[in-house]
Amino acid sequence: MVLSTSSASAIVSGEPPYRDFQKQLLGVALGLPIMWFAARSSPRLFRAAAYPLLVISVLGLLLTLIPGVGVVSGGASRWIQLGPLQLQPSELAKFAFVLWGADLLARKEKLGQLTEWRHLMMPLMPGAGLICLLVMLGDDLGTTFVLLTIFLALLWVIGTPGRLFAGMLGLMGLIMLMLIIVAPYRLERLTSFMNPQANPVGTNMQSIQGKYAVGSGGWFGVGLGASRQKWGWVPNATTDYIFAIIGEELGLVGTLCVSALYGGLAYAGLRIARRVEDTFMQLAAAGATAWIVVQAVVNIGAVIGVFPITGVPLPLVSEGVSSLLVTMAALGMLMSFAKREPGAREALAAQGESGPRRVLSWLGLAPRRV
Amino acid sequence: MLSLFAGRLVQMQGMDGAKYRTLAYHQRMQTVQLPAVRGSITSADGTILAATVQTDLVFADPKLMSGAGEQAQIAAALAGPLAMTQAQILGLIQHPTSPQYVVLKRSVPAATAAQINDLRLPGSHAGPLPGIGMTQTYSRVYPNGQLAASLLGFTNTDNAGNLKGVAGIEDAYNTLLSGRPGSEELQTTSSGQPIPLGEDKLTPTVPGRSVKLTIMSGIQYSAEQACKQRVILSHAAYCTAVVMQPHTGQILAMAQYPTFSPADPTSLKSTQDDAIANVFAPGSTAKVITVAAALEHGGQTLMSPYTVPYQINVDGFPFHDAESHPTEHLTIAGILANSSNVGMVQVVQHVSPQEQYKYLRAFGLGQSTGLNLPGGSDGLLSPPSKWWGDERYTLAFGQGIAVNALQMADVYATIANGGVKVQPSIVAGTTSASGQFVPSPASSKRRVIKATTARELIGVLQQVPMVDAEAGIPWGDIAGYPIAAKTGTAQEPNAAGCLCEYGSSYIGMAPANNPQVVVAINVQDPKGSAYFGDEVAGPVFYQVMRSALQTLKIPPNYIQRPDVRLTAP
Repeated sequence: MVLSTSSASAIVSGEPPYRDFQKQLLGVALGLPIMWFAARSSPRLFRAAAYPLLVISVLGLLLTLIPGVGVVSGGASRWIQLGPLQLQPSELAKFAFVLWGADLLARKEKLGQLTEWRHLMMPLMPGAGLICLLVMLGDDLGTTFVLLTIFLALLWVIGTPGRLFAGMLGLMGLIMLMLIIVAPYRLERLTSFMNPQANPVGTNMQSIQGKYAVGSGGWFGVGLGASRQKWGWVPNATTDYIFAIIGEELGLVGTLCVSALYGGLAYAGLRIARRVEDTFMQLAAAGATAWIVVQAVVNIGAVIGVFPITGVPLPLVSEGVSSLLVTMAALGMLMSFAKREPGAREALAAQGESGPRRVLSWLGLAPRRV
Repeated sequence: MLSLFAGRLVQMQGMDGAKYRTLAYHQRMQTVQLPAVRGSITSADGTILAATVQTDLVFADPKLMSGAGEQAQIAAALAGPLAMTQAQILGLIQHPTSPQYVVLKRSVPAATAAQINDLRLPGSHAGPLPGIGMTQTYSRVYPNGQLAASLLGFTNTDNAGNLKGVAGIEDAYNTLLSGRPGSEELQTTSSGQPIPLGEDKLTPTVPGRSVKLTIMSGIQYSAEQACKQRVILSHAAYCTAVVMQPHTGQILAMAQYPTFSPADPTSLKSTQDDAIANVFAPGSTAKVITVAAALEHGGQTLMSPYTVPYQINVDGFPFHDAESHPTEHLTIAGILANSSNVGMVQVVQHVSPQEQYKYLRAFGLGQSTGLNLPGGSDGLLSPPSKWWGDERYTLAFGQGIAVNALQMADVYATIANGGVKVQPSIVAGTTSASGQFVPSPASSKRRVIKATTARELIGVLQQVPMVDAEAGIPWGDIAGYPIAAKTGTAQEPNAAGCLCEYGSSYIGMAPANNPQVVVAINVQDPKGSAYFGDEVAGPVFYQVMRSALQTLKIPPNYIQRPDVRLTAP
């Protein structure tokens, strides 16, 4: 899909048609060994990596804010240039936050400190606040929303008392609302969402053009590569709105398949979180699953007009090397956890000759032979 | 959450898909106009009178020039190819019609356009002149200059850049000539380039048809030259020459002077086709109609005798002949050959006003010529109930009626064709872009007078050149060819209402034994002492008739004119 859309938008703006695709291909080439390595690593390694990754993320986020180092694009300063690649530290921050939060809570759990809400919140909440603040300074509400989701997911899994959880949920909602109101363009997006037919060439252009694309696809789509709307009509067709082009080229069949795949991912991720016995693995699996799936839901929801536009990429599909690498690493981690489910090792050893079957069994979907 | 999404997707793609598809299709659709090439106009002998060529419009975008110095350099470079001064070009560039657009010159020939493309600024190795662009257009050219201009008319370019006929054949046959422009509906990107794999609906262009006239360019040319000479010599208002083929009704030439240049018309008035638009009193050339009526319905013969004094009073109205003469005894033939008004006033008394009117109408006077050309005038002929005073008598010698030059040529073509009137025509047929020729339908025919009457009239008209030659004005005498002709000198009211202007006519046919060609000359308002038809229009007739006989390759037959008694015993 990145090839199909980025070549069209590159031709429209007069750039080499395969440049963006080559970058994305390079991302996949880097991501596969990372995922393989992650899948073979032990939970201890992930716990050990939590603090370093968090420090790198915070430093990276700080770097983006330094004029001259941070790359400004579309009014937001979210990237740093590293050789041929532009990296987005906020993507890494999501993963780092999952690991750090899971590690922190798991350690407190072991020490039996979690009966007190003060211990539950300290230092998890200030940490989350710091990262969110840095991300928001880069003007990125979408990532902030994903981070807060991860935070809530961690609290949910650790078993936060209902009243506290409800309070946190309310607080998060309040923060989101405030962030929306203070920036006029976000408020505009929200009012556009309430009033989708107004201003078709301004704030609503993206949502209207996206709907045109999705609708044009019909039941079976216009065919791979044959999208018309990708020719400069849908803004951000290679990133945030790539699902619209999937809808146009592959039709209802394609969109349902993609949605179902995310559903499968959600199921597999949560199944791992429920079945592993280690608290860290439970928390990290739930956090990572929540992150990837909520991001997909927010992205697809915006394209099909169910949610307002927040500007998050579609995991694994949108163009963007940082997001791809980090998401693949997280998936690798999930695989590694899956292998540590009780009974998984034995099951694998018993039936482990067929590759595809093994992959399915990692996700807990393989037919079980006893 | 998943099922909510699935539901929404089914709604958007399954149920409302067609709606979104249509909306999206229309926003991406751009229609490109494909112009049709306008057909050409040719003469009967294949000479191209009007054609369409591809040219360029040269425009400037001052914003793309770096400064006043570069503007001056560009203007200097373009001055030669555009045939304009550097100052003119610079003036346009400095005062553009819109900030980024000004037309420097239209209809620039392809060769010049190529030359402009190759221009480089001194010291610059990069590309063509900055800020200078060209758009392809179609232009109308008239390779033979003013030839047949009044027939052709001219074209304008409308807002859409299409050529549109404004006068003459260009106007009358505009739909046929222009064809139908096509269009292409394309799916485009947001910045307007066509999308690969996008839907594409092509409405093909229908190229214009070419129109072939009945005009013979050689005769047309000599008629125009003869008219021009005469107008200059006699300081006349205008001169028209109509040449017709009697048995087909085809117009072989319809010339006039002054004329205009179709590539550059100065005013709409100057482009008028005088031979059909201007009306005048025919004078003596209309006497043949009165005589025909008297022979067929007045119980008269060519030999019926009349006493013709210089002056006569009828019903209290005085009439006199053009030149004083002693009282003569003339036959009707003699009255016609000598063109005596006094004689005609007596002849017409044998014909009822209704019969007289019927004959004038039957010959086509006061009616449309049926020629499909804009700006024609039918002339003026009131019905008998509206005749007042001496109108019945003046009509007998061609006063009190207004005709155009083509109507009078047609009267003589009818006589030349043995009394059968053939509808005049100017278009021989049309040719499609693929070269398929479709001839015009044959002209309608109608008998106006008996064949014997026509024969007798021609016999009398053959005496006119002889009478003229005896008077020392031999313009109807072309060696080897029997010619039948009639002169006319009519009085016209001038702007002040005084009957002080003259219209001189000379209409004739050859060879008289089997007429192949009719030539009708009319010169209006010649200045000076000479104003009689034979003196003013005669030389024009002589030149045009000779040219027509040569061009049509009609050999001389040396047949003597029949003897017709002009004087009564």
